[in-house]
Amino acid sequence: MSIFKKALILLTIFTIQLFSCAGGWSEMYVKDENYNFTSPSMIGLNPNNSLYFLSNSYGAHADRFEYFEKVKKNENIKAWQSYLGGSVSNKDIENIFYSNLSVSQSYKKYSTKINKPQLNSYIDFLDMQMPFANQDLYDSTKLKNYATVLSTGISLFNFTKDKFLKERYLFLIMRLYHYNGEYKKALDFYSKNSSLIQKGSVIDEWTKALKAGALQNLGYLNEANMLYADIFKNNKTNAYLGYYDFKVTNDSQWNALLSMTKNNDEKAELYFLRAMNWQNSHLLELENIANIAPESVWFERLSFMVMQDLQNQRYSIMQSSAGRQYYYGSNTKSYNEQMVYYRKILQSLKNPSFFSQYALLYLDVLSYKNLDSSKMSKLRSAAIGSNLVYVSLLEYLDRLNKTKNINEVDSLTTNLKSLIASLPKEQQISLIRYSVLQLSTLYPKDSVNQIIAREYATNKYFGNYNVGSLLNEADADEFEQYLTLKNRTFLHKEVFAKIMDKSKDESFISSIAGTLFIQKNNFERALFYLNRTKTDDIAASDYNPFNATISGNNRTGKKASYNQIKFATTMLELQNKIKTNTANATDYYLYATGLYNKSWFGSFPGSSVYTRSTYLQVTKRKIEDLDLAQKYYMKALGYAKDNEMRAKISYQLLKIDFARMMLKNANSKDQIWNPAFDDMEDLRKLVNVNPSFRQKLNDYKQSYSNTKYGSEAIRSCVSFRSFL
Amino acid sequence: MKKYLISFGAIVAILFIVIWQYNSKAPNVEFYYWQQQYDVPIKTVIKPHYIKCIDIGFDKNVEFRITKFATNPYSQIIPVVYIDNDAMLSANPNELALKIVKTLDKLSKDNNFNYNTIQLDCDWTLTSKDAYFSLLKSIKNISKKSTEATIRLHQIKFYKQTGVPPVDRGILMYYNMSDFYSLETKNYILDLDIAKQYHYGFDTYPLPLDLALPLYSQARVIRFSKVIGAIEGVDIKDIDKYFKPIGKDTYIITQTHYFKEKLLYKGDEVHFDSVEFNEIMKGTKELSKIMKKPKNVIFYHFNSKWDKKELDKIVEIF
Repeated sequence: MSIFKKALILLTIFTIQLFSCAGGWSEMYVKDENYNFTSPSMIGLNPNNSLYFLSNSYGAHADRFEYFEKVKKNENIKAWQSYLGGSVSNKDIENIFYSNLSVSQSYKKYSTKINKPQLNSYIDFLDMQMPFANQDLYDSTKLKNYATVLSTGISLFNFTKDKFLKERYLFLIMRLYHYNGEYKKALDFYSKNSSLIQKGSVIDEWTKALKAGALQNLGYLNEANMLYADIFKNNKTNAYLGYYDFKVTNDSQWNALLSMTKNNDEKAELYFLRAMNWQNSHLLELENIANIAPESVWFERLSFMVMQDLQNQRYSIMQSSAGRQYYYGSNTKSYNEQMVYYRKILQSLKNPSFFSQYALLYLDVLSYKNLDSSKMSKLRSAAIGSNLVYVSLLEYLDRLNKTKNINEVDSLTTNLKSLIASLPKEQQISLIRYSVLQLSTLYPKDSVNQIIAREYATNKYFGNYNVGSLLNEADADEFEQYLTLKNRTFLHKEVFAKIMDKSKDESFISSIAGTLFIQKNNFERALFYLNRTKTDDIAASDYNPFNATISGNNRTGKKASYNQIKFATTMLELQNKIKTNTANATDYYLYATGLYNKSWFGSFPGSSVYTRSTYLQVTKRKIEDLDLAQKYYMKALGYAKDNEMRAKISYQLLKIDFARMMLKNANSKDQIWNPAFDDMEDLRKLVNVNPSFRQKLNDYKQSYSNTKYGSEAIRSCVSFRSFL
Repeated sequence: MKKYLISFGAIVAILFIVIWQYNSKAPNVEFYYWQQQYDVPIKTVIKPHYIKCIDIGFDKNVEFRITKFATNPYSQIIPVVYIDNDAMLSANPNELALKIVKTLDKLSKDNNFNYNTIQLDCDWTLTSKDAYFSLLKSIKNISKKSTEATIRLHQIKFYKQTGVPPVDRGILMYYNMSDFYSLETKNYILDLDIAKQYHYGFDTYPLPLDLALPLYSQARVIRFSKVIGAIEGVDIKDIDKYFKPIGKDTYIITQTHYFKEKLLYKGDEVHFDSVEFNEIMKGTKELSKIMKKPKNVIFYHFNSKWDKKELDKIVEIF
């Protein structure tokens, strides 16, 4: 590659990365959904045909095999139905040949209805030869009665005058020879009798595949490959064999194969089949085809597959960037190089098809580049039938990308509604989710709108739990605004309807709002919502949240059921006393204890968050909670005259100092990993680097060891024993 | 009395000589056979004892591939079962154990070999550990044979986290310790600088260990800045006129063509990984300082080119 070309590619990659910052990899990641705004109908393919829809990977074969098994079954049933002349239904035929019982057992039920005596021998023979058809290829044990089975088959074949059954016997015998490794006999038998086979029938297809296999096993590789190419192009029930068994291993074989073709279209098919080998490069083979037959179906189909693969790669990159996986960086580089290469191929076409034009513009949209209006006009002119909706789709996506303001979203709504109506169901959902995802990037970071929109767009299993835990530390007033918003846009309504739908009634929403208001210490508002919440959705604690014990999290002592309503009611009373300056030491103490216990560190964290993680993550709320609790304990201390009370309050303040020390460590560059009372070594290390905490323990001991509470705390609290 | 004393002395002396001989005996040179078809000619003088008999892969579903025996191996072998980590995560350990044991029994009957030990090869992770260890226990219970498992270096250094497989013996795989897919990997097969970082934990590792060493080469293919796969069993001597050197052991392909039955495209980069005799000697010497003498040193793999004298020199380090 010339230096100029390399520079051009690098510049393009750089430019792509520059423009892709509007929606970064992890920002645009949608869990469980690979949004894909292309369609096999763009290249005239049946959307259910998995042969071309999936990318070129080894794993794709299993899906294709499954698809063709279904096609084979359906076509076989059709053929039998035609032979049996409607005497039984398709379902009956399926029951005969595709049940778990042996064919002869299944057939008994229908034999009278069918009334074809010559079929009896066929059915019996079918069972007789079945073990050979199902023989494990790696099983070297030879089944003993092969010779008998074979001679029975040949006799039946020779004897029968029934054309349909004769064909079938032909196939079964050929298959017997094949699985027994008698490839020459299989070929000879086929050559001798192929005139009996109806062209285009399922038997024609199946025997062709056996012939190709026999040729290959006998070393007639190019003849086999040419036959596989024919099978791939023309067969309905087993086309996948055409690529799966197509094998080329050296240059002279490949060149000889190319020289057997009659025109560039046939050559193009060979490049296509070579591309279908999962170890080869479909992108580089696409280039080969572009050089000789750019307007062939093989170019279109391979181009479509390349596009699917690029989108799959894009999705994997998003997935790994969201999970911060190691390969994200190197995969991005490779993806960008391939995308540039693919664009280069498409741009070199003199008469690009609809799909080629669409592909280029679609890549632009995915890279957040503005669409070229003259290219869009050309695309519209080239669009016919169902392709027109995709032109509108691109225009919509372009406008969506350009939208920088939430208020501009409304104007897109009309376009979106009409688009959705014309798209297949899966793409409808994709489009809404993609639109909501784009929308979520316009809201302020970590706002309620952004959190809910993003969750809706990125999580297929959008539901209560997800939303609840994501909103753990959202702002209560902002959430209330979200709930009470009038005049929602179409997209906003979609998202809101989903969250309301998942909750079934307002109780879940009210419980979130109530919890968030408790978190914000707005107990009046909290009660407004909690009184609209079902009892089951109201959080409760086994411990009185106004009790402070010697244990760090206050979860000791007598159990008492206390729910959020009771808690908020008491906190509101205390709050009002504080506001009106009528609070005493005990009031301040109880209020502070309530604050501490509703925090992550206390006995009732569930009162103020939907989910409480067991891991200590440093957040603004955690620090606020401790600051407030400390403030009111200090107030209580100021009012307290009794030394026992002072000992109690001061001990709670020590707990806050300990919690602060843990928070500081969790956020530290030199974090000590596992400081906990069940792993004292790390905890000691932590205290060693925080001498002020040790000093406070000492101060407490000196000040309160002569009190009943103080001496009990000093005796039973591990910190005093371990750190002094 | 004198007679008895002399006889006793002689017995002690003989015992001493036997034990000394045993301790100074070098480990056995053994081989892995890793092809899907076993076809070592019967008259071959040195044949492999460690034969991969079952290959359990994963591609959407668990795939169970059994080695085909075109010739009979030694009458006593150690069948090896390879399990892909993804397969381990998807399979039911008890059902898999039963299938493995049944398959090995049938294979041994059909191909005239016996075995007293089953070896399992799986690069388990923390996620698959429980399932894998459960599989190992089940295999041992069902087969009533002794069991072995391959161990990677990081599974010795961090054995407290990664766990110790419940088997009778471990086989330390002293190769493939780098990242196959990284473009920075200098030599995927053996990188002693990386290996050295894992020379810990041997003194307390609870299983007796044999040693597996590499004896093969390959070429990693890089296309669009990504390692896409490897061509096994090739080395630099095999290159043709379309390989242009661009770095140490690295070439760029100047024309699309078939190389060892694989298609290489113009612009592909090919990086050769191989192992020099001196490197293995060096690595083994380092290992011998921290690792107890293994009973067997198993070379991967039998079909590579090897020199018996060189292999003997390697094992004699212990």
